[in-house]
Amino acid sequence: MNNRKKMLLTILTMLFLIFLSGIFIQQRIVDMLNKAAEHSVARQTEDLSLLAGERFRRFLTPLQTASKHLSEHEEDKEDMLKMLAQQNPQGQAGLIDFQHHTLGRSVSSTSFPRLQLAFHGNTVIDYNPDIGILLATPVIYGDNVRYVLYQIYPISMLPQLFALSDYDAFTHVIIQYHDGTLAVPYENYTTEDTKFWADDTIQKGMQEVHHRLERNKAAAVYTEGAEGKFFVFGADLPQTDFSLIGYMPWSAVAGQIISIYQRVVFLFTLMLVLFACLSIYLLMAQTSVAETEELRQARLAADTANQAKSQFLANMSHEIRTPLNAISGMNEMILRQELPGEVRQYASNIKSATAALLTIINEILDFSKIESGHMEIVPTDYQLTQVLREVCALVGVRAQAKNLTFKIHVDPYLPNGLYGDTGRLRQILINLLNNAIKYTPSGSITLDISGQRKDSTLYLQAAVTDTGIGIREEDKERLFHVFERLDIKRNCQIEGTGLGLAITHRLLNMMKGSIKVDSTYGEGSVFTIKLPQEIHSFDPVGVFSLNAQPDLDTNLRHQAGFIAPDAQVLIVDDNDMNCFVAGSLLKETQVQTVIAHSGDEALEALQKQRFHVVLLDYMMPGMDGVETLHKAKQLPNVGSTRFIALTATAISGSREKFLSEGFDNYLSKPMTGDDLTAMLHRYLPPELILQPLLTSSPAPAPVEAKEPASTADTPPAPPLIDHKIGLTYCNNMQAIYDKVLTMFHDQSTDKIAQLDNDLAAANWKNYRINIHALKSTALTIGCRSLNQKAKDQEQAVKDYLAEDATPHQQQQAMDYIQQNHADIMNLYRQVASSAVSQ
Amino acid sequence: MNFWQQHSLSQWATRLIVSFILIVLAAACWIFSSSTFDQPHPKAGIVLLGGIDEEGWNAPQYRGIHKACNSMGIELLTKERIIGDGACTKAVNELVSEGAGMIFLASYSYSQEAQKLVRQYPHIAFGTNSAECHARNMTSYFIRMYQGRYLAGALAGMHTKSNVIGYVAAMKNSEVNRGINAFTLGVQQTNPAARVVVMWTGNWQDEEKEAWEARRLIKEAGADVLTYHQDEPAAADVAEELGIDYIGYYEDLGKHGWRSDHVLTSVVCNWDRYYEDIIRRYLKGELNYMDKQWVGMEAGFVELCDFSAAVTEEEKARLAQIKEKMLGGRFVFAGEIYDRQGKLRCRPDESIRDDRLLQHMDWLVKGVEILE
Repeated sequence: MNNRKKMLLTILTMLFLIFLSGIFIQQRIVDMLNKAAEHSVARQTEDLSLLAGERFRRFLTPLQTASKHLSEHEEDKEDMLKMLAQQNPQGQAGLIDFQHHTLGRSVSSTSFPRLQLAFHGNTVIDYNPDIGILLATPVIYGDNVRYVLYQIYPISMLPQLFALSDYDAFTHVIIQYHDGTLAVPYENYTTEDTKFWADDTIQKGMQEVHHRLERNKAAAVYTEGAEGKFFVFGADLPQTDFSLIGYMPWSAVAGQIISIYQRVVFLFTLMLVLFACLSIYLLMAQTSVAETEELRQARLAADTANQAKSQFLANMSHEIRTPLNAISGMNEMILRQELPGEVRQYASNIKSATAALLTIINEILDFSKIESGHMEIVPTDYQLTQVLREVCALVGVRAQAKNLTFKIHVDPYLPNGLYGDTGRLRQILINLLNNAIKYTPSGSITLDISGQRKDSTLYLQAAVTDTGIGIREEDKERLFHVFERLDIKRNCQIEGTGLGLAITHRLLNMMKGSIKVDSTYGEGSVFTIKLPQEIHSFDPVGVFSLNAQPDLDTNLRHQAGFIAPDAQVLIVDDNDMNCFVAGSLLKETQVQTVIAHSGDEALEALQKQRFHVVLLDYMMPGMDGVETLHKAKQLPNVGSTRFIALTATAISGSREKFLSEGFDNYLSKPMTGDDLTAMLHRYLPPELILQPLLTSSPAPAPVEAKEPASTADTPPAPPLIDHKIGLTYCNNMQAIYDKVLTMFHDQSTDKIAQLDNDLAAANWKNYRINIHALKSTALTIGCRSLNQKAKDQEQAVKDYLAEDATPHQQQQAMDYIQQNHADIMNLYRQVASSAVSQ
Repeated sequence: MNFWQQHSLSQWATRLIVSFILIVLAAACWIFSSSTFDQPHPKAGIVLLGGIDEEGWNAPQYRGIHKACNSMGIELLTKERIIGDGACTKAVNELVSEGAGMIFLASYSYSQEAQKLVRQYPHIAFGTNSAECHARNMTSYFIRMYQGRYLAGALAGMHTKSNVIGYVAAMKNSEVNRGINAFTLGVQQTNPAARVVVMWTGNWQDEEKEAWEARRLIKEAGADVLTYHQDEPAAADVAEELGIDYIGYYEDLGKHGWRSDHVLTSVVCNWDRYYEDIIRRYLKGELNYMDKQWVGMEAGFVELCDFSAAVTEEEKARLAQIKEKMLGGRFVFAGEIYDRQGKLRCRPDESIRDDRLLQHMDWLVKGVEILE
C-alpha cells in the first residue's frame, strides 16, 4: 500500500513536471516563433525602409539636377525655381544664400535648423511638424557652397506624397520623425487610427522598436494587448532623421506558423497521455506484483499455520491414542478370557466404543487431511454386517440415551463381503446417524441399508430417516458448508463442530458416492447416500439383528494363526502399558519377547542377542525411533532383523515416511492382536512359524473338532465343490471365485465356532441366521451337499422355532438338529479345507 | 530482507523510466531554453600606433572606444603599439580571426596598408581617421576639431601680449593644416594684429624634436602663447617649464594638478561619444553606406575644457559669443579667406564644403608664419 502511494506520488510528480515543462516549452516555442516572426518582419521592414528612403531620394533628384545647373549658370536662379515649381507643384521651391537671403519660398533657419548644414556641402532632409518636410541641396561653385536650393512639402501634402503603400490590407505604416512625432501618416488615417496608435501596448511596442533601432537597421516586436496580437515594426530611413513604423496583425505573419505550433502542442499532449497510460499500466503492474507478494506471504503464513495445526493434530492424536491403546489392548485381554456372558457383553461394548472413539479421533484428523488434500481412501475387504454392528452399537446407545427409537432395516440379500474403505463408510454412517440423533428431539431414527448390484459393484444405499426438526428449503444449499450450522436460533443448544456433513460430503465425493437430502421442515429429514463398493463375497447379509452377540463374540474371540516358540521379538516402547499390551497380544504366538523401554536399552538388547523382529516405538523420549533404528542398523548382528515401527501418529504419508527411514513396515496404535500377529507372520522367518495346535483353539466342541481329521482320512469322494455352480455365482470370474473360496475357508473356523456356540447356548435365533448364511455361502462356492444339509438344518430350526409347533414337533426338530449338527460341521470343515487346497 | 529483494524488478523498471523521462524533460527544456535567434555577439577591434596608456592621441582613443563598447555592450579587441611595415596587416588579420566585425585603424600611418585590407575583408566594416582612404566598407571618421581650434585661436589672440603665438605641428597634411588655419582664423577674429608662428617637427611622436621646436618658438620667435599638434604634449611641458601660457590638445592637460594656470584650456574630443555613434551606426548597418562621418561641436563631440584662472570673464564671454555665432551658421571656413600666397580661397558669400576641408586643405591662411 505504501508502495502504491509512493508510486502514485511519483506519477503525479512526473505528470506535474511534464506539465510544467510542457508549459515552459510551450512558452518557449511561442517566444521562439514570435522571435522568428519578429526576425522575418524586421527583414521585410529593412526592405521597406530602403523603399521609403528611395521615395525621399526621388524628390531630391530634381533639386540636385537644378543645383548642378545653377552651379554652372548662376544667373538662372529664377528660372530654376520656376522649373522646380512646374515639375513638382507640391514642393514650394526656394534658394537661400550664405547671408540668409532667400529667393522663392522664404524659410528661416529656426524652423529648419538643419538647413544650414547644407552649407557644409551636404544634402539635407529636415522636418517641422507645423510646416512640413524640407529637402535641401547645396549649390557648389568650385570648392565652396554659395547657395542652398530647397523645396518644402507642406504637411497636408505629406500622406499623398510620402505615405508608403500599405503592405497588405491589415498592415499600416507611418513615418515618424526621430523625435517620435508623426510625420507622414498613411492615407485614410482617422481618429480611430490615432486611438489605435495611442494604445498602451502599441506605444510600448513602438518604444521597444525605437530602443532596438539604436543597434539595428530594423526591428519588429510582438505585442499582445487590448487591441489584439500585433507585430509592431520599424526601421530608420537611411540618411534621414525619419523612421518608418508599422504594425501588422499577428495572424498575418504567424498564420502558417500557428499550425506548426498546434501540431507541436498536439504531439506534446499525446506524449502526456501516453505517459499517463504507461504510468497507470505500471501502477497496476506494481500493484499486482505487490498483491502477488502479499498473497505469497499470506499463503506462506497459512501454510505455516496449517503445518502447526497438523503438528498439533498429530500430537493430539498421539496423546489420545496412547491411552486408548491401553484401553483397547486391556479390553482385548479381557475378551480373550473365558467370561460370563454379561461381562463379555460389557467388554464387547467397550471394544465397540473404543473403536468408535478411535474413529472420531481419526475424523478430526480426517478433516485436516481433506482440507490439505492428504486424505487417502484405503480400501480393504470388510464385512458389511460388522460395520453396521459397530455403527449401531455406538449410535444405538446414544439414541437410547435420548429416548429415541433406533431402527435398522438391512436388505438381507445384500452381499456381505465388500471391498472399500470401511473406516470411511463407518464414519459416514456415524456422522449421518449422529446428526439425526442430534436434531431429533423425539421419535425415531431409522437406518435403511439397501443396494443395487451391477456386475461386481454394489451401489450401497443407506438412508437415514429421522423425525426431527427438518431443514428449511433455503438452507439445503448451505448444508454441506464447513462450520455452517443452520437455524442457529433453534439449534443453539445442540453441540457440534459443524464439520460432520462437510466431511461426509467430501468423503463421499472422494469415493465417487453421492448424498441427497429430502426434508420437510418440522417433520423430519431423510439423508440418502449412495456409494459404489466392490463385492468380494456374495454371501448375503441375511437377517440383520442388532442383538447378534454371537457374531460379535466370534469376531472378537481371538485365535492366533500360528505359533513361533523360537522367534525372538524385541518390543521397544517407553510406555510400560504399551509394552505390556504388545507382549500380551503376542503371548499366544509363544514368541520370545524382550522388552526395552528406550532406544538405549534396545541397542543394548540388540547387541546381546539376535532378534528376528523389532517392534520399535516411533516416538520416545531421548533417542526416538528413527535414531534408534539408524544406530541399530550399524550393529553387527542385525542384518536379518526386521524393524517395524509402532506409531500413534497416524497421519497420511506415514507409511512412506517410515519406509524411507528404513523401517520394514509400521503398525498404527492402537493395534489389534490380529494386526500384530499378521505383521509377525509376514516378517518372521517362515521356518520358525508352526501351525497352531488345534487344542489351543477355544472351540467349545472339541470332539466334533477332531472329526474333520478323521473325515479327511476317508477316500476322496466325488468333489465336494462344484466349480461350475460356484463360478456362475461369481459371474464366471475365476479371480473372484478364488477369493470367495479362500474367504470361505478363512471364515469357516469362526463360523463353526459360532454355530457350536449357538448350539451350546441354545441361541436358536442366531443359529438359524448363521445356518441360513451357511446355506447361501455353500451354494455360492458351489457345494450343493453342504447347501442341502444347511437348508435342512435351517428348516429344522425353523420348525423348532415355529410358533404353532407342538412340543413334540419341537422335540423332533431339536433331535434332528442335535444329530445333524456335528455332521454339518464336519462337512463344512472338509469343504473349507478342500476350498483352499484347490 | 536485503535491499535487492525489497526492490523488485518492476520498481527498478519504474525508476529507470522515471529517470529517462526526467532526462528527456531536462534535455527538452535545455534545447528550448537556448534561443537560436540571439544575435551573434558583436566585437570591435582597434589598432593603435602607440600604447593604450600613452597620453595625447592613443590613450584618449582607447578610453573613448573602451567606454563606447562598454555602454553598447560589445566586446573590444585592442592591438597597441602597431608600428612598422606589415604590422597593421598582421594586427587586422588577428582581429578578424578573433571575430571582430568592425575594425578601427586609429592612425594616419595605416592609410597605405588599409587600402589592401578593405579589399581583403569586404565583410568587415573598417573605420579610419585617414581621409585619403576610400572604399565601400571603409568609413572615414573625423571630428570637426577645427571648431575647437578656432575657439582656442580666439582665446590665444585675446591673451597674447607679444602678438606672437607659437604652434608646434607634426607634418603638412589636411588635418594639421586645417587645425593651423582654423586656429589662425580664430586668432584673427579677436586680434588681427597677432601672428601665428608654426614650427614643423615632421613626426607625430618625437618628444625631443617637439621640445626643441617649442623652445625655439618661445626663445627665437618670442611666442608668449603656445599650442601644438602632436601625439604627445611635449611642447606643453616646455611651455610649463618656461612659464608661458599654452593650450593643450587631445587631452585635458589642466586636470593634472601639477600644471599651473598657464594651461589656459585644452581642445578635447569626447571620443567615447563619438565612438558610440560610430558603433551604433555599425550595428545599424549604416556604416558601409557612408563615406564620412564628420560631426563636431554642435553634437558636443568637441569642446574646450574648463578654463584656467588666467582666463578672464570678459574673454570667456567673448568666446561664448563666438561659439554661438559659429554654431548659428557663421562657419569657420566661410566668408572671405585668402591663403598665404594671397589667393582667394573663399568668397564672402560662400562657405568651403566639407570635401575640400577634409581632403584638400593643402594651403595655409594668410597670417601664418613658418619659422624655418
